Amino acid sequence: MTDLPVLLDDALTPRLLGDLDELLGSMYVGGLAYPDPDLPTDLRALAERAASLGLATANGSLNTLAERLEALVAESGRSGRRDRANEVWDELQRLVCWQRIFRTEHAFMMVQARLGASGDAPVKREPPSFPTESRRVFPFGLELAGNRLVLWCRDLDNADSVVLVDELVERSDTDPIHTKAISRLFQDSVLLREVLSAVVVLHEHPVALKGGRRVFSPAYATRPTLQVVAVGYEPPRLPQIPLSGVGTPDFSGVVGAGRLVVVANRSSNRISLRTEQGISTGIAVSPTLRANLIKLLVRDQVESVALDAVVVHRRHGPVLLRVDDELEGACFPVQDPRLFRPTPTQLAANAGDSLAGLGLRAVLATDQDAALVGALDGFRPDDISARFAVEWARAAVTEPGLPAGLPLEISAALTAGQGGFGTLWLVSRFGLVEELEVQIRAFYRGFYAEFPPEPSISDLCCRALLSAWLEIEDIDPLKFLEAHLSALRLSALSHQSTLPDAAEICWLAETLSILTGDGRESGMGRSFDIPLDRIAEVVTEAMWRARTGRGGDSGAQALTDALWLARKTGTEAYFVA
Amino acid sequence: MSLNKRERDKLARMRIAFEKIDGLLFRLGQTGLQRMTQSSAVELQALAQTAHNAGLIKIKREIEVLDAHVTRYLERDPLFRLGAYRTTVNRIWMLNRGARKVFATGAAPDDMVEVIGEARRRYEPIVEALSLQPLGASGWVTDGDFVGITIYYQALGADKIYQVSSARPTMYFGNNPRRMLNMDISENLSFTVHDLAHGSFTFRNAKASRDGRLSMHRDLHVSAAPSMGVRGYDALRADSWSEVVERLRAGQAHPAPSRTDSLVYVEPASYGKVLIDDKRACATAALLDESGSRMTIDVQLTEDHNYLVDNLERMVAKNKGLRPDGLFGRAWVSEGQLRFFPYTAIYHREVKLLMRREHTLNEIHLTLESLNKVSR
Repeated sequence: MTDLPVLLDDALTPRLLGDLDELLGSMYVGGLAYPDPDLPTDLRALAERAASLGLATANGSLNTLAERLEALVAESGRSGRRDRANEVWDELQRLVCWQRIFRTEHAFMMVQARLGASGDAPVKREPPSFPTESRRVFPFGLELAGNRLVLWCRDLDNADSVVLVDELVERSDTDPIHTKAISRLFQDSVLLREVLSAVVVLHEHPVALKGGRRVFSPAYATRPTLQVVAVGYEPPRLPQIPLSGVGTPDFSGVVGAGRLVVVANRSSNRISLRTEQGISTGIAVSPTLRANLIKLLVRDQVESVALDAVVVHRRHGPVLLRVDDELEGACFPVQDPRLFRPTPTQLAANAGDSLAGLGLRAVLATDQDAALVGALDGFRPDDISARFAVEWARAAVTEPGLPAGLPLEISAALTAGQGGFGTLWLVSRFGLVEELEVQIRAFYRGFYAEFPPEPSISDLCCRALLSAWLEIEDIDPLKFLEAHLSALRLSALSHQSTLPDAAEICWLAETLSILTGDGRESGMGRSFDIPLDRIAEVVTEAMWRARTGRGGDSGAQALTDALWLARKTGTEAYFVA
Repeated sequence: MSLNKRERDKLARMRIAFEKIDGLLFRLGQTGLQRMTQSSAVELQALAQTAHNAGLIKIKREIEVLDAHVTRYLERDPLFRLGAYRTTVNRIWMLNRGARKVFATGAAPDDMVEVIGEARRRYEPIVEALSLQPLGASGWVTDGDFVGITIYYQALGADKIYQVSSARPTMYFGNNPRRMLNMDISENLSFTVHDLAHGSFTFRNAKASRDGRLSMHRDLHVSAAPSMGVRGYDALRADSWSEVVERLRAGQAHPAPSRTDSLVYVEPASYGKVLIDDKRACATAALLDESGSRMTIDVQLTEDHNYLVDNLERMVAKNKGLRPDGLFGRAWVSEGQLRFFPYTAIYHREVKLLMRREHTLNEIHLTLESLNKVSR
């Protein structure tokens, strides 16, 4: 469109385009078979006008069309006439095409010119309806309720209390600190562990003032960035929360979070958080916090522990945000379920050489322990259940090897009707299904004759295994177990209900892995979906019971079962360092 | 290059169709409109079928348009426009020449899709996961009795706009697209249209057509993704109305452009009042950029735009506090003016939309969500 620049101030161009429209219209309406003899003259007149406006392309095209029309009129032969008509038609289309493109481009240029003309009076942009601020803040702790995240921070330059409110998507319910979540505030996938150990830089971020705190919510046009801090970075010191005369914390003069020494101890099955004067702080103890504190007491082998805590006062009471621990550093015990884990050595410290003690050492063993294997080999079980306990423990530390006389032992147990889960597990463990089929069938008949109306988990596992091995088609063993598993899941979700015995849940997992052919370690790969805090409750209570060794074998056995449950549910790393 | 029988047959039909199309156009030109009869319309219908059989889909659609023009002329319909007739003839002539040129290079029919079009959209799998953020959404009702919602997405890290549409027949679902907001986008996905019109998403196993439409097929997996915020609009952002015009001009570089409008994101410096133009039956409102240049919001006063017009009135009112920071929509030039049809209002600071439950959002889709239910 080299013609265009000359036209911007020219009012004649639209008139030319209008006249061209009219002329082209008459050609389309009248047809070109017998063109109006005046058309070439009219086209030449338009061509001259186009030339005077500097429209070289239009001028050329109009003249060509006029010439071809004249040639068409002059042609008398039939085939020659057809050729001439084709040439006219093609040239006409070229002209229409030019006109269409020119008209569009001309319209753009006219609009552009008009925009330029109307743009002489600059408009001041309407100010945003919200204030914005730029700050550098350090987060001291977090609250997490559903998807809503509140980060309690301090301004690094003027110690103002700053709150960052965020909405997390796809966050982990069990471990929100160490797994990535999608953040609206940061407009990215973030690891809260990293956010909580970095300086957060806010740039021109919309802010609201609420209760003396500056609150920053997700914005659209800006997002905070994280500034990694150097190792050993000392964040600004928070104000100490004063204690009243009677020893209760006095939050009235503290805006945002403050420091408080909180003493945690366990008495009558409860964890309490008190001030150093022994007055209740009013801090609510969530299941995660409770489990963490029990682990801390077990790890440090103490009855009570003083915590250097960061606490914030909320409408519903004080909330523990963070604890500074010598080993863990800055940590967040209300949200982080991995804290204060005792080592295997600490947990097995009181395990003796009894069968329960050996079982505990076996489940805690991280690699082959020759002494332990030797102790298990040397153990002489006096009944089939003790044999099961020995082999179950041995399975954790060594490859299976069929002990001499075991098939006879199992056969006798089956014949005597002592075929609980343990006996059938031994059959499966040592691949004796075919060898002992007769005894298993006999046991099956006896088992069904006395199948209880309210079966235990052991009964359910036995029924599923027997159905699978003997190919009894009245039930699908896997579906049968899955149905009972659903009931277990529902019961686990309700905190009012009591979980089945940890050992029994492990048997269920083991049965599933036998039926599906999965490895033993992935026994609960088909997730049981038992909430982590329910498992934590079982494990930490067992840890507490076993910590002194005063409970004897029952304490060690309970801890062994609990740790097996943790292993089977893939949660062991939350409890053992 | 070896072609299979189906392709060879198609090319043979194409060769014949090119001649027939040029021949009929030429005859129409020779005859002239004033001597046309009903048989011309019948010939055009037959030619459309020929073009379809030859796989010349773009040409076939234009021939159908031409048939409509001719029928209107024959019926003395006042809606007949000579200029539109001329333009359509010219488009067919150009498309036919373009297709002939590619044909002459010996290309296979599948390699000619850009020029000849395709009868049904073909959805090709996208290997990489797509990170998408909705730019805007609009509800629509077609003359063909379909009601639907189209969501426009920006792909993160790619200068490409994708669309997801949900369409239903008006016979069963009425003609109110807002009713579709709470319906599942497809039977294969447990996301409502409203869910997918807000937030950001990762589409895995996605399939898209050449024109950026995404298929909601059974194997598609959609999950939440981090928002890009206002950065999502960077590829469409025009800081001044001159830039909008330049964007439109760039879109017209093709001699036979398929669209004359363009999607843009703008942040007006100031908003004018909503005015009702009874003569043109449209609602208008001025949008000024920082230089004081004016672009006009232009919304036809049709039944399905009533909701949008109400929203516009509330949006520009100074005392409501709901003036958005940005607008996403379609711009075009008409009658010497730069015009804009808004799809979505963008707020840099989140707003609350009460729709079944409270949603915290940064974008309000103006044809679908009421600003009456929005608060700061």
